[in-house]
Formats: sequence, structure tokens, C-alpha cells
Amino acid sequence: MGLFKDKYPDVAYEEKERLWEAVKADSRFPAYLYGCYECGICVAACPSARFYDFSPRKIAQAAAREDIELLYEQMNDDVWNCSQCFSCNRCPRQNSPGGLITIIREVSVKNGLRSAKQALEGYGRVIYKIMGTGTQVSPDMLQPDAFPDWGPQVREVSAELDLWRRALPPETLHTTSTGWQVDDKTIIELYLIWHNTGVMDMIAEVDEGLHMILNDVMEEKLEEAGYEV
Amino acid sequence: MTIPYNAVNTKSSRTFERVAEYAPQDYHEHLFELEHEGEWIVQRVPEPYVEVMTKYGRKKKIPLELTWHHKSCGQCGHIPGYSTAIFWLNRKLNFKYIDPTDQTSCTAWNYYASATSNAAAQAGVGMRNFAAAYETGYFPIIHCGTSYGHYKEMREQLMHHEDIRHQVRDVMKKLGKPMVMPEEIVHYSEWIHAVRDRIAASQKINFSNIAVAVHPACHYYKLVQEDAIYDPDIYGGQRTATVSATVTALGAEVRDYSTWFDCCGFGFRHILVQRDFTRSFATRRKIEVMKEEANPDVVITHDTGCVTTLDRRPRDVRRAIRRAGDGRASLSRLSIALALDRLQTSARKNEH
Repeated sequence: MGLFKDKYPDVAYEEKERLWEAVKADSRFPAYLYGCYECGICVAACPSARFYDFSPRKIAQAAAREDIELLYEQMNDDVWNCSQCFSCNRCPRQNSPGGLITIIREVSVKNGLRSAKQALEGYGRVIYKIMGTGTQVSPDMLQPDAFPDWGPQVREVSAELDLWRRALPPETLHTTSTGWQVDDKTIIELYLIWHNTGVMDMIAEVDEGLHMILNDVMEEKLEEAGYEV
Repeated sequence: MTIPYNAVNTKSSRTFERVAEYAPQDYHEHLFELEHEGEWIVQRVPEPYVEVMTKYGRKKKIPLELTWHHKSCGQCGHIPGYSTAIFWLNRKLNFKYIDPTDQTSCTAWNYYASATSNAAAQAGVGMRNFAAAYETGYFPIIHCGTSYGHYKEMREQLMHHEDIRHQVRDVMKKLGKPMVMPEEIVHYSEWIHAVRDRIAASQKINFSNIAVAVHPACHYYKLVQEDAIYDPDIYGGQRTATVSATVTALGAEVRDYSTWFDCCGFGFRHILVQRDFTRSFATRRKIEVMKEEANPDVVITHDTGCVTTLDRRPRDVRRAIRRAGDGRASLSRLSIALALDRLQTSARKNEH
């Protein structure tokens, strides 16, 4: 029984425990948690703690005492607030609450938790870009309707994007759909990495539609290159 | 209550000495052991190189030339002057380099934002890029602070977790590529740090009347922190010296402020789909504090995310300056921009 009221009583304790065991089974876990002094240095350094009801100290403490119910609540309600800046690595016990959160998020995605799907709503386009092209931010993504708060230069640049890019001295930057020109062979190697490390299965858990699109794009290129998916 | 920044800016008579017993073990021993056991090839830093000091006094080798430029997707995507200027500096210094097309992003921006990947996949992407560099005979130099921090974490994981190493080896075998780990993982700002006096020797404009506030990138010095550059003459050796040492070498004045250690608010996922958080944090904890306490002419940072956060919100910056300052301040007085962006103009002039 945890110290706090169980916020998710409808989810079986065994299921919460199974997810926590998956976090602990990650080989990085022991290097991210050594206990907690409760000094709050991680909270003082944390940007997310200033603007959200979020505390890296609570994450480390719940993990240290294996408060299964609270950990499940954090997996759903807290971890997506983290900025992943790793300011909390300042911990005098050498904990890495940010590292713990990386693992918890991964488990959350792998298990298709609804909170993970909600956190990644609107983010699919970015995942498609990085997994499909090998670069995450492409010039053609920066349209004024998507980034109205980035100032008037976004409109100016996007209006003559191709011209601006061709004016750049490095020829590798004469592209608008990728950050730089990436070889076909390189992209195929990237696809093989995604397929052979379980990443495609993770995508399927959080966004079936995206998984289908990515799979189609990748299959075609891989088959052309002589690989069987 | 306002922050007593006068106390922050007053130099203490105490001297700071780092205690050697707290230093983590030099990872090189393990790196070479694994090479000896046939686990991977260690790509040596090519000569000529410059040795710089890291947090606990260890020397780090920074190659001057024969560098393979691992570009940043954020920089190339929307701050292309960044990589353009790095290449321009290499040419001005007559250094050989490669701007490769056999390179992908480290994909860590997405990983830290969405967790739609895992340790083995991330290490696979990094090791593919390192193998591609090795095949050319040139040494990788990393443009992005997040790629740099992420690759150092990846190195730690591969060194200490046999399961991840074996998973990655299987993938690399399928790609027909060798397992290669560079002797050092080097950020472009470390290269600039190493050549700062050469850059200063070619300086055309006097910066002595320019005041600078520095924002260092979190993933540069908070991830595997023992591998970042420190210097006893910069902030008494208690903070990373990268960027600040270069600014000093160029004759500008570095001004301190109390939220120096704070993140910029980038947040990876937040900068794209939850920008109200990013905007609030950048404005309240960085820009307003810089203006109030340091009142710099320019803010300099050295990473993709920080520039994106601090530079891509001109209206917020203007409002923040008005709130923190005397009401007459304008962007020309506190220009949130990357100095290298300005070098792009010079680079273009020289190209054409």
C-alpha cells in the first residue's frame, strides 16, 4: 500500500506491478537510482517543476520505495511534463530522475498507455519525419500557420524557401524536405535499425495509422534494395 | 524578494579546487580494454590535436582537422547559418573536413520528446554514423549539443551493458558495418574553444565594448559531465568554460547572472507541441533575468535547442525586455541571437 490515495483503483495492482517490473528490468535502471536524500536539489534545478505540478524528487522517492500505485500515477500524469534537460543530474546521490523518466516513458509507449497516446497527439508528423527521412527538422516544416509565434521571418523565409536554401554555400543544405541531403543507402540502413530493434513495434502501440504509413514507405525502399521485411 | 545578484557577481577571495577522489574513472581504460577484447575499434583522434582540460582535470584531445561533421537536424533545418559558419571557419583556418551525406540525425530530439525508441536503437543509429565517419578516415565532430550528450550516454551504456552492445553488434553486422567508437566525443564548440586564439588572431572587429551573457547547453555539460571543458581561469573552474572562454579570447566582456545553470525551457516535446511552457520558462527564468542582472548586448549559446528557444520568439523577447528594463530597451540592445548566425553573413560575402 502506498503513502498516497490510489488515483487509478480501476487498474489492477498486478498490472501496475508488471509495468514497474518492466521499468526495473531495463539494464540502465540501476545506474539511475541510488536512493534519495530528500534534499530537493533536483527540484530546484528542474524547469518543469516551476510550471507544472511535477517533482523529480517524488519520482526518485517513489521509485526508491517501489510505491507501485504512485509510480503508475506518475507514469500517466507526470512523466510527460519532464523537459529531459537532465538538470536533475546535479543530485548529490548521483541519481538521474530524468533518466528514470526516459525509461518509464519507454515502458509507457511499449505498452500503449492511453496517457502516452495523448501526450504524443499532434507529434506524429515529427516521428514520421525523423524515422522516414533521417532528419527531424526540415525547412518545409516551418510554415507560418504552424509557428505563428516565431515571428514574421518565418513567413518571409517560407515564401522563397527553395531559393534561400540554394543560396547557402554548403551544397548538402540545398534541400527543403530534409535538414541536409541524406544518401539513399544511409536511409535504408536507418530503416534496418528501426526494424531490428523493436522500434516499429513501439510505434504500432501508440499510433497504428503512423505505423502503417511508415511501414509502407520503408517496405518499398527496403525491398527495392533487396531486403526482406 | 529579488535575487541578490550583486552577491553573485562579486568575486570571492576563496579559490576552488576540485577534489580528485570524486572524479569518475577515466573511461578510456575501459574503451581500450574493449578494443583489446575485439568488441570494437577505437578511432584515434588524428594529429594535430589540442589538449584541453575537462571537469576533473583530465586532458581531452580535440582534433584540429580531418574532421567529419555530424550535422544537427535542428540547425540545418532552420538555423542553417550555424553549420555554414562552422565550415567557413574550417576553410579560413585551412583545415580539411568532410560535410557528409552518409549521415543521419542522432534522432535524440525525438527520443527525448516521445520515447518512441529504445537504448539499442539509439545506439545503433549512433554507431552507424560513427562507422560511416571511420570509413572515410575522418574523425567525427558533433554539431548538436543533444547529439553530443546523447552519444556520450550511448558510449557509457555500450561500455557497461553487454546486452545493449551485443544487440547493436547484431544490427551492425546486418548493415555490414564495423563497431567503431571514437577515442573522444567532440562537440563543435570544443573545437572552437581549441582554436579560439587562432580565431582571435584573425579578428577584424574590436569587441571590447560588447557585453555578453552566456547560456550553456544543458546536454553539453549535464550529461556525462566529467567530459565537458572546464578551465580554472573561467568562473573559477566551477562551470564549463566552453563559449565563455571564446568570448573572453575575442575581447568581449562576459557578464554573469543568477540563473546561469537553468535550462532554456526547450523541453524537446514542449518546444513543438507545448510551447506555452517553453515560452514562459525562457522569458521568466532566462531573458528577463539576463536583462535585469547582466544587461548584455548579446546572448551567446552553443546549441540547436537553446538558439531555437531563445531566438525564435522576437515578440516575447521584446516584451520581456520592456518588463525587465527601462522601457526604452529594444532588440538592438539585447539581441538574442547566436553569434555564428552573424558570421553567416561574413561567410556569404567571402564565398561570393
